Amino acid sequence: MNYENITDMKVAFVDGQENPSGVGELAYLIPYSWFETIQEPTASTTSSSIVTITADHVLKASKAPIEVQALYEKSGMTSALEGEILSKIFKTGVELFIPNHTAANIGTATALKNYRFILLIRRPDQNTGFLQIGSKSIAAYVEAIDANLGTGPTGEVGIKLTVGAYGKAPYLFYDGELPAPAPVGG
Amino acid sequence: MKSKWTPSPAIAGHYKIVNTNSPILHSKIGDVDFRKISLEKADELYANGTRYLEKIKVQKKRASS
Repeated sequence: MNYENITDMKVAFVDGQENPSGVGELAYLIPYSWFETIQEPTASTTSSSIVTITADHVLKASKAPIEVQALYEKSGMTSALEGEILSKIFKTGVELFIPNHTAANIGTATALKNYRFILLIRRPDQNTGFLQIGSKSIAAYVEAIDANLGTGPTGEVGIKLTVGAYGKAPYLFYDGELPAPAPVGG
Repeated sequence: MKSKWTPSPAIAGHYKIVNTNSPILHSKIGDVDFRKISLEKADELYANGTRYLEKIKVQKKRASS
């Protein structure tokens, strides 16, 4: 992709805009093999089009996004550039902390480490759209699963799922619908 | 397979819910609950190009001569 056609490049502070830190408590993981169609940004002449997906992802029949309910206070996202000068790529990491040690939580985390996927998250004040980590060309994957029972009375008990993905941008703006569970046979 | 929930009566005769067996949709206009959705909200959702609502075409009766 070449950005020479972009005509509105600008970086600005938006006065009055909510800007809370952290990520919302619900995240959705969708394994690659569950997609019927993975949409990508359709670049036009605007800078936002570089990172915005407006069409809807579609899942195969009977598949639904895997919901991860994480604790706000201990979950978050960071990104950094990696690579050589003028050939850098973003590496984005998302930490999702789940406080409960249940068989379902441990079992799901155990299974997820074997999948490539796309992760959809929201900011705390976000009601529409999602931030997408992982893309059609480079998947996200589980980098670490830390299951801790803590030490003594004040130890941190929980499961920390660390997801990582490389991408041309820190994340994409997915403005489509979250794929809903499709019935078997259509 | 038949859904275990009943679509909102407000959209009966106007829209059919398709391609999903979930009552909740995280849509382009926010989260909607198909069990409680109003017709206005359904119209807005449909106008935004959702693939989960299908418009029911009202058959016009021919005037008898």
